[in-house]
Amino acid sequence: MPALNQNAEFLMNPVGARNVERGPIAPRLGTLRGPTIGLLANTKKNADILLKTVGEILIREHGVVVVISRRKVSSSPAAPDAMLDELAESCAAVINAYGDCGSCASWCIFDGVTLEKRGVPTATVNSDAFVVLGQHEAIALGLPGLPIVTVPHPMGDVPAEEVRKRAEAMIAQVLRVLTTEAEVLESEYTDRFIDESDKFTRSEMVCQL
Amino acid sequence: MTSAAAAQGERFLALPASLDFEEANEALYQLGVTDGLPVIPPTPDRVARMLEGIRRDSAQSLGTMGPAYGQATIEKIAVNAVMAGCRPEYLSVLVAAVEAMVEYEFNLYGINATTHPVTPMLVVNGPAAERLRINSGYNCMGQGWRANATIGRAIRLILVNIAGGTPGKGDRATHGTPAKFSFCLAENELASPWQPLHVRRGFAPDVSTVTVHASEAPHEINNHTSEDGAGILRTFAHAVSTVGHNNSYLGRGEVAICIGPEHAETIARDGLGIADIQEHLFAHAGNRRSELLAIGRDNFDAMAPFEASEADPFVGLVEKAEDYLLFVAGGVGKHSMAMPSFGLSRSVTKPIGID
Repeated sequence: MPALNQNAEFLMNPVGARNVERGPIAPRLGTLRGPTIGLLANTKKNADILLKTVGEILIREHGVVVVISRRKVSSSPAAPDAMLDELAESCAAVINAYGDCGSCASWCIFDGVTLEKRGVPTATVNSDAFVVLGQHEAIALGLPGLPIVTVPHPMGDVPAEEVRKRAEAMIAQVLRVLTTEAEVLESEYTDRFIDESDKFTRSEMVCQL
Repeated sequence: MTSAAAAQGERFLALPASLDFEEANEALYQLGVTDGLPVIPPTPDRVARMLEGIRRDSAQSLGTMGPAYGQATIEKIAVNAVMAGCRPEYLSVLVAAVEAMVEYEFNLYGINATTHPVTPMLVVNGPAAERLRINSGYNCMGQGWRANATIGRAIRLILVNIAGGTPGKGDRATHGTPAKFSFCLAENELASPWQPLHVRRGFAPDVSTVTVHASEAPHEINNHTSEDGAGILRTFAHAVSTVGHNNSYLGRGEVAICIGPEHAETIARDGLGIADIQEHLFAHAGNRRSELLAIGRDNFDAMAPFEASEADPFVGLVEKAEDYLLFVAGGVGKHSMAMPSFGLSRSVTKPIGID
């Protein structure tokens, strides 16, 4: 690295060098008829109800034969290796829910990226208030095209019946991100939420510099 | 260079080092790389002087810091230290603190991005506290001491700039906390009747260390009246027993208590040590299950084990007695301070290099 006194012309940048590598998402499934689908819950309130409902709908209406449910001990940090190993080995795809706060969205994205990098197509769920953060993190982790399924925010204070309705409403997104060709999804999701961040950000909660 | 290049962490900004103080500050503020207060413009000369405070390769990275996973090189730490107003000899404390924060169990990724009002509290032990004049006495959590103020401030700038914790973006704190501007103090080892924190964690007394704890803002614990240690401990337990903080929500993590020297003396006078205080808190700080159920909290399987067979069992705040992180600091007065934590984080202690 050149000595600093040879570059005395400009102020120095306090920002840390960021990851600029961009990897591909996992290949998607041709069909949901037959394969085993994993449901990864992160303990956030109502995540279990959301995933259970999604699993039931996938079995009842879309030909999925078996779902495997696993639950992290807590929403933060990452899912343990053994749990991800098991999901990667026994499931053709995983639905990973959900991020509805800063730390849980972060680790939810982290788990989704880990599974995708292992070749497991994943539907990673964030509430719409946190999806911009989620996409920034997917970029930081080298998977800018990670498909992120959204549910309305907040999720923690709604009754079970409303959660089940939101699960039904989310099914189309789940089907799409698990069965659409990877390249198509990547172009669809890369920068999608960042470019539309105004739509997902309540302006009255952000004060401009 | 564009602001986008700045955002990727290039070495220099497109801002001339010759800008005057006001111009440089306006530009840095608009880039979003400050804490809102004026900063010292990081000219290459100033950064070079800062780097003289440590004998380390300035290009070396201590690891990545989330949520942006920026590379924490010694040089980047030094740039932020200049901006915060640090003296070069403080750099070794910052380096040790970053080494602590990048440990997986600290969970910086979660802490920096969370909605919870959390900030790393730095507690310095050993000879560095006196050498660097890190306040451990009167007002040690407040204003007035350069080392406390600027080391803590540099940590925040590092979390914003290297790690990507920009408020409303990578840092999604609902409110944040005033402690996010700066939270650094030393243990008052001379006023403590017990072994200092770093010695209890296996370091020699003459080794200097920094401990990082994923802390809420401190909350006062007032006891002006107890004549014995039992009364003080009862007050400690009461002060941290609420259903409203993350330790209660998660049933785990660490809870820090900074014991004021007068409270420490009262407790020690009764022959009680650190382990006794921890055991007392483990047994008495927490809530009845019915209280938790009344607010819809039912994630008991994720919490530390409790006597579930009882009619209305007592649910503690942490997994084990040692999860009460105790140290002594402050001046005269009958106050201590409680710092519940983010919960899903372990405090980490690292030695401070003697360079």
